[in-house]
Amino acid sequence: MIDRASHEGGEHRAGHTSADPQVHLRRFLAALASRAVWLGSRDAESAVQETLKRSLQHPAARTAIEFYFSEDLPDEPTRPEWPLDQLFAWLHGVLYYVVRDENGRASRWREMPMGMLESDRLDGSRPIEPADPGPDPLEQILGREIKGIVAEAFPKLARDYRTVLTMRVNGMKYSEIAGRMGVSENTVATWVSRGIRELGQHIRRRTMRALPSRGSRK
Amino acid sequence: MTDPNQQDRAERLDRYVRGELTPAEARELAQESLEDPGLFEELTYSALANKAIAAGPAAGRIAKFPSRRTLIITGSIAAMVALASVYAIRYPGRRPGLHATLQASSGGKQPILLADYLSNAPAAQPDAFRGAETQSRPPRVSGTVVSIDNGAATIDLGSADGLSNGMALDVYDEGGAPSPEGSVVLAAVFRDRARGSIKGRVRLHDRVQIAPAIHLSARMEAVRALADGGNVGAARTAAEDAARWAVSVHLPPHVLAPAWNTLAALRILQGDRTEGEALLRQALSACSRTDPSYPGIVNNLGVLAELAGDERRAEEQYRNARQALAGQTGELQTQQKVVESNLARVAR
Repeated sequence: MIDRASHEGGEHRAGHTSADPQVHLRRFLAALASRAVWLGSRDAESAVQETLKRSLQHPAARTAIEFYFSEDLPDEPTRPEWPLDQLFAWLHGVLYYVVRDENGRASRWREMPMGMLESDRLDGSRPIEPADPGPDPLEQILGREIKGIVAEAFPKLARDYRTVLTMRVNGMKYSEIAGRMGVSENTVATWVSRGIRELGQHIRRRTMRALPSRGSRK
Repeated sequence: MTDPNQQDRAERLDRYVRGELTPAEARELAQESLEDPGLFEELTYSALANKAIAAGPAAGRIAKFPSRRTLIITGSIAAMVALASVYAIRYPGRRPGLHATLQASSGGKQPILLADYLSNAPAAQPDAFRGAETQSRPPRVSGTVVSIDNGAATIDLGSADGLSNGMALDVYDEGGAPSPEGSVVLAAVFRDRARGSIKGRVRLHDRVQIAPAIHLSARMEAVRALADGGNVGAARTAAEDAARWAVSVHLPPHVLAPAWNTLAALRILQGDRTEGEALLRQALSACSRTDPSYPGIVNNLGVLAELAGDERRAEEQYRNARQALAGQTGELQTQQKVVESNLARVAR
């Protein structure tokens, strides 16, 4: 189980011994740290701690993290309300905004004379708006960026993928789509998932292009 | 050969995306992702795509499909328009020197046709390699399981038969059982062979059946190869055979619409505009505005009107086609250029 006392205060530190009960949380944190670096964080550990803190404050996210990422489950674990994809999308949203927030602060610091507080700005202007999106980072990132990328990438999908996804969005069942397209339900199901995974790759590429100094990353 | 581990992962990822994993399976996948940054990344971006798709029409070009009632009403209107058009278009005053073409590079001087299974390429030289291959091996609608190894089956059908990765093929007992006993989900597809994971009961020599819509698509790709090779006559014959076969197996009309449009274009290219128009009307009544074939069909009706000297009607059809293509990117950009070119000529 996750030690909430330490995490809710954001005071967790990597580097526990192998006997530490949080050893698999550490693996989770390491994975998040790798993502934070990929997203352009200069202080991945802090970004991860902040992401974890915000996630654990959300009951559904906390239950999901405990269920999917802790090493040992209790005998009767609480079944997570969220499916795994919801958790992955949520974590990306939180981490993305935490890293943006971090980069925004870094640029503000560069703009201000040493020792100057934001409230003391001589020109009376407002400090740069923090990137923190508020209570639902996933909704925010979907609305601000991901939907646009998907809309742009969608016409590039193979025709069959586009057709099944369009029908799916419109609430048609696999059996209905299969009947309409003259293929088996299994084929429809596979096209749905492959189409979504291909869109995921478009999102990845576009995110990578948008990141500062990420041009050489693959 | 396909790595069974890769196959297993691909299958689990597919199920993850569709939300079919049990909590225990999802946890196992999550734990794996902690050791594999690539997997962690794929799970993240697939999840984001899934959420964006689920958010629905706000995702821009993901169009709403009309209801069945709307389709029926639209179809009826289309049929009435078709009847009216037969009387309205009398092909007055054909403009000399005007002929339909598939060449998008015609400099905007000739009306350009669009069809799902014909290429808008520069004047094609016969493609010896592709043409020879296509003629040596017509697409097949069924095959057999030729080997089974590590939970994966190899079948004697491939891309030449319209197969692609991810397709699931029904497998029947070789004795001729009426219902499938298992399926093969394809993970590696070659020209004459394919390999995939087994679901249900699959044995050596079992019969594998390709869905009729896929077989039709494969036959129409062969039509494209013939037309690209400059053999319009043979392409037309092959398209007619394919359409007849599709009707005989009761494929729904909307599945047939792209084939009818292609056959119509071939007829028009050969100067048979009456039959071409009948096929276009048939195709139009079978599909909705959101169907990918719709812009091409409407464009081709515009071409017919233009050839008949009815530029006002042609302009109207080209504008309809342009509207249906608005905002599209990717492969549909070629169609947009063609329609713009056609429109510019009659709207001068």
